Amino acid sequence: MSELYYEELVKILEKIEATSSRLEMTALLVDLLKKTPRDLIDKVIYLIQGKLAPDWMGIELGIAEKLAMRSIAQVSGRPISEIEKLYKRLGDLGLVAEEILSKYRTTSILDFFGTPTEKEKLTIDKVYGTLMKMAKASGPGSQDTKISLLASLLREASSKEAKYIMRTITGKLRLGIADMTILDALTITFTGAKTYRSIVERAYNTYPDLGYIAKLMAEEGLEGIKKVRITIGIPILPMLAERLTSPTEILEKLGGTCLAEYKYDGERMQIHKLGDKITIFSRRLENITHHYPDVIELIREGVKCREAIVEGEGVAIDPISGEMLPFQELMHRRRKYDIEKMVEKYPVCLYLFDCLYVDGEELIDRPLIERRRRLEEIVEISDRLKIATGEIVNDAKALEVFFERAVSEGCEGIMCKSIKGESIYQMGARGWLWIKFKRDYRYEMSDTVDLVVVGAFYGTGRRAGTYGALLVAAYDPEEDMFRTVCKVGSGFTDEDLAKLPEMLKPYEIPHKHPRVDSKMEADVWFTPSLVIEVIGAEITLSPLHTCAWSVIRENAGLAIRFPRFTGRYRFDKSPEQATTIKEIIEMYKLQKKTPTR
Amino acid sequence: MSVKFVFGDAREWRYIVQSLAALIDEACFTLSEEGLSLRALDPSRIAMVDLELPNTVFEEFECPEETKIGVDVEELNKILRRGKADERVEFEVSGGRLRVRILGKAIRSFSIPLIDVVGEELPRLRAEFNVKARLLSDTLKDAVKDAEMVSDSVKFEGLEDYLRLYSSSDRGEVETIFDRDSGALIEYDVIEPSTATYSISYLSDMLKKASSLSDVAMVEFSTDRPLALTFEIAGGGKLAYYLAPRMEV
Repeated sequence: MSELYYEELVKILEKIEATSSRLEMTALLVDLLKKTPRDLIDKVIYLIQGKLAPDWMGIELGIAEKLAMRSIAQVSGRPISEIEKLYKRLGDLGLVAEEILSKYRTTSILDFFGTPTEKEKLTIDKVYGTLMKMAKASGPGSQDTKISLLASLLREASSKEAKYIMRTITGKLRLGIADMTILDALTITFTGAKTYRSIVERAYNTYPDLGYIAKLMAEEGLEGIKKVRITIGIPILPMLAERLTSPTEILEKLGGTCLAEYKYDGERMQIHKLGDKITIFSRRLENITHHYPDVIELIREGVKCREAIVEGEGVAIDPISGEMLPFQELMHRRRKYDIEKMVEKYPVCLYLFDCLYVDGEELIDRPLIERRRRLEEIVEISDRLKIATGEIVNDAKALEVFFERAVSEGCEGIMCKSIKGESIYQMGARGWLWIKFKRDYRYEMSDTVDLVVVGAFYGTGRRAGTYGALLVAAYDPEEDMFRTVCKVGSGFTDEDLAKLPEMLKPYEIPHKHPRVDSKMEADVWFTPSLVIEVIGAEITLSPLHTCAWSVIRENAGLAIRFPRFTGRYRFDKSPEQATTIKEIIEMYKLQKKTPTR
Repeated sequence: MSVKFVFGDAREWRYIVQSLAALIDEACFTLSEEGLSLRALDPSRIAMVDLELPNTVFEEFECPEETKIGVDVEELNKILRRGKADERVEFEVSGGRLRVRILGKAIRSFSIPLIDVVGEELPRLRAEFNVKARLLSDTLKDAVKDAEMVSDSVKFEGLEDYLRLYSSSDRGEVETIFDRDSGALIEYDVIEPSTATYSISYLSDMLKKASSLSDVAMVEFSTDRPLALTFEIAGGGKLAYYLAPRMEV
């Protein structure tokens, strides 16, 4: 097998570090790639990126700084305290290793065996192989294994090499080489010019593994690259959206019509199904399958074809009410252990919105409407598996209303998607085919409100036999009416749930009470009597609720987003003493503004 | 055809295994007609352990052909911790497992799986030692402990008349002198005065258990060369550690 020494790579890394010109960076990479034997090219590419494999393979190189310092201590024979002190001063373990190891080295007992031999230079293979062993070490004792593997590498490295090894393993190889620069370099190295760049990029979008692409180019050239196809189990780069804040502009950009979809406040998931084997990738292509066993089950049950790649948004829901919870709640699922417990506590509802591949057929070049139709064909919707709420919208007013409805129901905003003939799925690209309509800020509701129960919705699942949510209203003293503000289903304990029907029984009536103003159809109506305390994330405009209707904006009322029952029944208050419409309007105006993510 | 050997003192074996555990997690014993041996490097390759137990040390020793036994040192240690000084211990290899029987008032039988240990063929050390000292293991242990108060390394100075262990840092200085008059130095031979510095953490790990094997330890070194620390095992075996020196480049 042919060799390349790690010091060659280090030389180029040093030069790259010193340049601020992307062109020069590309030229340096081309130099290195030309020198690299074919069978090492993938490893060289990964090491340049400070990785061992594309992120989606989930091979984590990381080692805690504390452990890395212990390796330096082992090889230098200097006390940890000295290394820590130096780290505090220099702020870069790479520099620490370089400085310490240029001055101090312990010897290995092996140095005293047999006849002394010339120190061998570190090869790319050796560095990559050792780092891979470190990444794969697991289980008890793996920390010590990692420390000694790293130490063995540092022992053979020059102090300059040690600097880059250290930066690589601590994830601090800050070279700022974008994937796109590497694609440029690969195109130039293997085709002689940048002409074929778009073909290479398409291959990369379809199979985002720079090492794989590099090897393919080295071995089969452009022809090999052209053959790259969507592969189940290999994530593709997701299509991205532009952003605008005016409905009129959005429609203009999209040619006067679009498919408006709820933009759920959850995690975007690219889901690959191959028979029963299901893999989930995040927006950044990390493999997040492990975190979502419930989503796997949903896909297994509800997607009726053998092979598929679908995209959707997983949203945390209240296990009891089934209502959507904010994004932060979903993050409880991003953990290594106790997944099952979290699945129960923070179940996920999956809203699918695109379909990129079905049973051997790539759909990315098909127009959106067709993709959506294919999605509807293969998906059997259920309680937890849905297709994103969407409708074709042709005027700005309707778009605004749709947006407000989405926000008041707990969404981040809406996605407006082109439905023209050219509305293909643009892998890896941010374009004007998809435009998100999000608010620039959100409000914070700082105080609780006391609201009157005017209706209820039957529960399902764990809530069968009781209510799933209550329809609550604020009081309008001027017209002596109760106008709805939200549907509250969160915050109730099992005990609350058990006694609610009984508590509300005396007020049950067969129709909406004449003093109640509601656009929603409740399953059960009550005479306004019971007052409960509610807190929410914020007060927003909503076309679904009647509180302050057309006061702030034409044809919109005010609603509480992510409402929760605080646990306090206000038996001390009569319904007429509940929070008034005027107070809600005041609260809306005084809310603290926070920029959104 | 089986490999079987019996050792007269279960506790002594425990010390041997614990002495190995100071450096290694997995042990690969080599058994032949002559006896049992093991030579291994610690994971960071700074030290080596070398165990030799000739067949005469054992009450019974059956090994028709050379055999390698790989075991998890901690697992073996757990078993031997159950044995006492007046109990005998029998080892037998069969069917991919090591059976350990502690023969006391009752016969207690344990069995652990053998593991694959990638053993490196290690050559003998090129060792010429200019300083050779036999001293009481406990006093050496104390000297190293004292040195640890101020530093993580200790300098061995072998001078004409005495052996000096010295360590210093901004926290202070510690020295121990071994000479013939004080009784700690049983034998002392200097071909050429020498100094070398070694890691305290290795030394104290080595001394912690191995000092129970023998009251006397042999220390050998040369300037900026490895240190050999040898313990005789009653009946004719020995356990030796080799430790690379610390050097400034």
